[in-house]
Amino acid sequence: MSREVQVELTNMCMVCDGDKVLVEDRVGHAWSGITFPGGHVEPGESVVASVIREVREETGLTIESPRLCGIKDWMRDDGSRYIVLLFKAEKFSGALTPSKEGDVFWAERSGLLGMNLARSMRETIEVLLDDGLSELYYTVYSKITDGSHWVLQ
Amino acid sequence: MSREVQVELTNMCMVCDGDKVLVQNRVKPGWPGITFSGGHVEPGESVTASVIREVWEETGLTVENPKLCGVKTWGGPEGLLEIAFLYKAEKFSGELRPSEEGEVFWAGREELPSMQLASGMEETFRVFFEEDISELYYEKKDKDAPAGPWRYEDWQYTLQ
Repeated sequence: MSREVQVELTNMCMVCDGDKVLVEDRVGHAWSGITFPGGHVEPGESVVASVIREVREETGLTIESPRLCGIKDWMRDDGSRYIVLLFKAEKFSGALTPSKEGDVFWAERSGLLGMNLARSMRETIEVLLDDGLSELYYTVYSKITDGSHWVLQ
Repeated sequence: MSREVQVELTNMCMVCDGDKVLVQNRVKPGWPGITFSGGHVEPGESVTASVIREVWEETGLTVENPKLCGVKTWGGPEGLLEIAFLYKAEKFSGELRPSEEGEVFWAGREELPSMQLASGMEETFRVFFEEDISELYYEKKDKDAPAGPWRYEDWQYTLQ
């Protein structure tokens, strides 16, 4: 019996430098606003390799030893699951360079929630900042934030 | 453009009580030996809920606040074939009881390496025990080998 399911697999990384975190101001997407760099896990690469590549492509920085600290996931109408693997990185090298995804810059961690966050980033940041949390699971994922329901575990 | 892949989603949980960890002596053919309890993530269920359910089904214990500590992944030509979410739990309630998957019992952490481990458990322990390791990634040693029955010896791994 096959137990395989359809999954769209992605990653996101909060790069930290003391009290500052690296944010991306995503433009030209249905999903725009302040977020963290990230993208898809490609065939032939590990999840950790994918997050290192995405951060480099979108910010110019090469992170070292990113640490998995949680996941964000939901079921879609077609029965597939969307999964975002959430990482934190505190070591990096290179020069900050924006990509076509949007501008990248350092922001105060304490001011994050006051920024113009992309949809669902508010609860995503909670998982990244709270060591007691491992998962943000949407029981209803709405394209309008107000319509979403989720559990933090 | 669809960016979906066909993946098997599973979980595994190390339940700890001080220096002791809960192990399962798996009897099912295919993957016998000492392991931790775990199983599949079902559609419509959060990954964390699946961990709580599997531990309960296989050990009788109800874990509280299991914490994600890493993933174990298998790479294939089209993308990942399996993702196992690895959790740790230190709080639990209930009475220990075995399931048809195998006997369950407490073992000292230091005893683990000398036990009759299921294949791959030695490197899996490192993700559980070492804070700076988040992923155990397997890929085929010979990427051009024809597809055949799954054999542990055909895979090599990296810890990241």
